[in-house]
Amino acid sequence: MVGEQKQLSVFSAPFMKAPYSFTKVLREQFFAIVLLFLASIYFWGTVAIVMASVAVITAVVVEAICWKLMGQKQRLTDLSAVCIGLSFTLFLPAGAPLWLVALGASFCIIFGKMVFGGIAYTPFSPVAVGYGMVSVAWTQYLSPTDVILATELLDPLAELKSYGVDSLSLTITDFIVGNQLTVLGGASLGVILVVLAYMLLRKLLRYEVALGYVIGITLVSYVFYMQDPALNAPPMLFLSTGTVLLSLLLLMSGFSSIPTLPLPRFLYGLCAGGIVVLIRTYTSAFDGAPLGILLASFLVPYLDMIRSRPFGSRR
Amino acid sequence: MRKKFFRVGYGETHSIRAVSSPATLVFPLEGFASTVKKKESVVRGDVIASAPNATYIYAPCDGVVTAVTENAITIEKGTVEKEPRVPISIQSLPIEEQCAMLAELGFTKIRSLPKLQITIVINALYTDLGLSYIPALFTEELAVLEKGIECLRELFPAVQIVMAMPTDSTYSLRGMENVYIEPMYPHTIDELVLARITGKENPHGVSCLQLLDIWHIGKLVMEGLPLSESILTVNEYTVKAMVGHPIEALLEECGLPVESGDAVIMNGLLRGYPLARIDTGILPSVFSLHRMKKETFPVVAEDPCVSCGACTAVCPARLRVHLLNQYAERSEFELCEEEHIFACFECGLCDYVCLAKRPLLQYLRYAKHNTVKLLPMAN
Repeated sequence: MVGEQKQLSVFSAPFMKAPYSFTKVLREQFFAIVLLFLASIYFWGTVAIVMASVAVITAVVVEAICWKLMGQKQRLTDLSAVCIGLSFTLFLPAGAPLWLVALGASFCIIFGKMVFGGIAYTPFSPVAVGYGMVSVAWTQYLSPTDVILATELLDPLAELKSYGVDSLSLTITDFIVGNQLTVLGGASLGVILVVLAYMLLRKLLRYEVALGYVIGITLVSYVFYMQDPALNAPPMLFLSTGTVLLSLLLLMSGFSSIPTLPLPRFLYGLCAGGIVVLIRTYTSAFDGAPLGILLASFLVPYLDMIRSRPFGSRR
Repeated sequence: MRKKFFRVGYGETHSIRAVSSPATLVFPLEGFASTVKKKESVVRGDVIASAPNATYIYAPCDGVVTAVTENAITIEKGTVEKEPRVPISIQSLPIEEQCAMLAELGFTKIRSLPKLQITIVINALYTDLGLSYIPALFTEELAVLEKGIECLRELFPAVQIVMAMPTDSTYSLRGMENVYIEPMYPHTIDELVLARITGKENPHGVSCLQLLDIWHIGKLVMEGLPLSESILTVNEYTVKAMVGHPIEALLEECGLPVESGDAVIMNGLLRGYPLARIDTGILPSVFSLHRMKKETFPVVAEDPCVSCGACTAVCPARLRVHLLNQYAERSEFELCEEEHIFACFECGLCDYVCLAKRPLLQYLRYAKHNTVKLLPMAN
């Protein structure tokens, strides 16, 4: 053999990689959430900043402590704690007590994310878990009508629940420009639709899920609407009120909490949509969206069993 | 954002680049044992190394063995006082002996073709990325290809022989039935081409040969001696080089000097493997070499799987790769078998699209290697 041997690099095939990464996806997700947050500052003012700061700081600190306790390397730079803190705030009404914000954010991190081992392993959306816990324990602090008293804005969900469809004075224009009383992130339907388009375009939100969800809601709410048009909102009104679309953006955009293949994803969206309508129609809750999505997540392992036959096999 | 498929059409035709004939040839001994000793004289066609499965390395020219180590045999070219081998006229042999003779001269793939066949598909599509040698075969080695087909027809007179060509191809072989396929990787790899042509997955009685195999057969028939040269892609060039041509010298001659820290990839950018040393030469099985500068290496990370499902969505074998790779990581090979790991063609797409930059193809190969041991026939 010839004397001098060059040191070559060896690594496993393939020798090409697509130019995107999980970190990039999390950055883009963060950007989308920040857009919603900026809109919430515009509509609600400094209270949004204060609440978001509390939530984000709590989330980051709690996650740091969790990593420490688990004896693992800190993974805070992926911004997922910040995203969770911000997303959670967007589901609260302006003026919700700060202790609730902090407690909810830590629930999201501890019970939604860290008990399962981190962002890639969460079977449920962390924000939905935190919100679910808070909404069961302190329902009175989560209804915008109860929390925000000094306002002339109307809460469409409370109106619908208490007085029926015909008495609703808000129009679709009010929803689009943000002329309604609702949670921090849900004020303007216009902003939500813009972010929805961005997330679908960047594939942060899978279109199969979004399509299934919208179809699910439309179908089921249409059935109820046909049954009693005075009491139950028509599909269009259903979709544009409360956190229905906000939940789609923030709670269904994860990877590990949704099925992996297109058809199961669509069915998951369909189920989630249906459950949301059922919750809103049959329970005392004004807005059933986060809870409905949380419940639909339980179906994911079963939906994941739907698969295509592997190449060349008979099974 | 998620580009799943690569176009691997013929594109421009590159003429075969002439390379000088090296004075020293080096033969890597991976899996082979040397059958020659130092200072022994060899002539073209002599066996210099053998493997247990009756495959051999042959001397591509006359010369003297100057070194035999456990890794390589070095031969200095030159005239020797030894009777040259008589070329074998394969086509004058009886049919049943022709197959055995082709195998004996180095085309061992003929042994794995089933006895009862309906169709042989010649895959004239690129089965990996970064390859460009096929148009040159049609333009400059047409006579050899046609000789190869002629021989194949004689060997399998009742078998239908078709050629799978990309839709942008303007080439054709005399009397050959062509099937045009959109050249989108991974639909160009053998299993998927067969499925496309026959309409069945893993069909019986159908086998696949590469265009280079036909060239190999043609060359054996024309010369009557084992291959002395090989046609391969070297980065963007098509090169005809002598078997045993040291890789470093070959790259250097193509204007691709290798520095410490660079990588040299053999046999394709998605499915190939990296070389640990390049002072050894090429063997006839090599169809591509790529030098990669260290600045252009892809990022590989050992991050946890995020279950995004990108791998499962692109898998042409419809496997649940997101599960398989985690089973492999935890050495749960029984589960790998249940998840049909052997349906994997190792196309490398899952690895390409992985968001977490995990070495998925390596995990799948590792799992296959270990799952084979669990199969009943292994015991």
